[in-house]
Amino acid sequence: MLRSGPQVLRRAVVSMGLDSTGAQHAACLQQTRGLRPRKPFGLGLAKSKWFILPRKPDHAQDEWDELDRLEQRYKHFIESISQFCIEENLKHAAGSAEAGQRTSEDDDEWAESLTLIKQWNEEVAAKRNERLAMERKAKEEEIQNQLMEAERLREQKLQEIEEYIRKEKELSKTYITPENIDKAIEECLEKVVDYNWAMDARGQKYVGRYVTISGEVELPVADTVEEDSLPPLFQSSPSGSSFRRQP
Amino acid sequence: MPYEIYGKATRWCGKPLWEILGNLKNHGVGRIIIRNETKLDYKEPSWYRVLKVQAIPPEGKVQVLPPVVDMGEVRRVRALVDVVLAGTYRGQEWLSTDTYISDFRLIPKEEEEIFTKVKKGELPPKFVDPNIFPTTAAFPPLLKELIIQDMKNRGTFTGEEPLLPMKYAYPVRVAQEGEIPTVDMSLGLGKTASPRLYANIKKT
Repeated sequence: MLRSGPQVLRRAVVSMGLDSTGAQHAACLQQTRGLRPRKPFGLGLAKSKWFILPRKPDHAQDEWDELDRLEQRYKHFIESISQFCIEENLKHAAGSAEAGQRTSEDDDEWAESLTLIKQWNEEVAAKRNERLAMERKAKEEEIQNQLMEAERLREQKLQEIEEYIRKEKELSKTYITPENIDKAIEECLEKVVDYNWAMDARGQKYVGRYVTISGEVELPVADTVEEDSLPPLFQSSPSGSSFRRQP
Repeated sequence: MPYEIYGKATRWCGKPLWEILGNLKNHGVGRIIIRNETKLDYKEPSWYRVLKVQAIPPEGKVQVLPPVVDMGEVRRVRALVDVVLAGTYRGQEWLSTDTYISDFRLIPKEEEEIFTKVKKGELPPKFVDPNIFPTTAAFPPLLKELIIQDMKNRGTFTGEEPLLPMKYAYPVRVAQEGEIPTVDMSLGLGKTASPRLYANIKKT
């Protein structure tokens, strides 16, 4: 079926109800060649195969017996050889009686290797001590620097605190205390701050109100500012500007 | 009306063991039970003598798929039996795993001696395996050479060929002292019972 081309496959898939829009997925079907669409398992055995029983292969009994004999023989040998190998390994492994026996050659080699290891250890120790001394020196320097830095920071902090105290002392002259509280209240009552003022685009301030709260009419006294000192009310675009509207 | 048996051919014919033992007096201790499978396999009578019975509760329905085989209510039973296979006694055995299979049949008391061919309460002779396996065999050629070389290096080689001590994968009758092994475990395919299978093989 697969050799017949994608058309047949597509038709088959649609007829099985697996994919109702087979034409849309023709490219996908082409890619998934190895996946042959199969019947769902729930359908069960086909009706045409209901009453057909596959015949069992009818071989001569001695053939089965012979195959059985050869297999058993093979398994016996495999078991024996693997057991032999395990025992051999145990015999020559570390911790066995053979490994416990030592000769003079072994002892010589052992002593030689020990001296060699000692020599190496000394070499390495010298290098290590040198490195450790350098490291210790650097560490000491670092600690000294840290101490100096800490001292500097402490002095700076003290200076800041002293400055703060000095400022506070200066400010404390104007504090309201129980002695001068009546005076301060009177002052506050006398000095009325009126925020009812306005300002135009040029920064000209217009202060006061025409009618006071108590109903008195009062003309404000504006700060007289010269007209020339103020910026122009409507600024024309700067002549040197690169932005020009095209006619 | 003529009828035709349809279905997969099985070697089973009879009842589950509990169906037989549960309906007998004293749970059938001392009775003779046979299996159809062994009847098909051997000409000589094969049978069980029930010695002890222990009941097990039913396990419910069991379906085997595919093909759909409804085993019905499965109920096993534990039973200690004397096993006689192919007319020889094989020792005692606990039956339990296969007892739910409908393959057991009871021999009536009158026919017991006729079927078993021994007197009531007696057992046939014990089974003796005719195949005697050797305790040692030859090594494979390459392994043998390696071992000889190794022995030479160690200085333990005496000129005798080393032999592989056999460890059998299945329980077999191993040759004791004074017994001559009957099974050929030398290198190669061994001694075959049916030489016709090798008749057309040509040596090149």
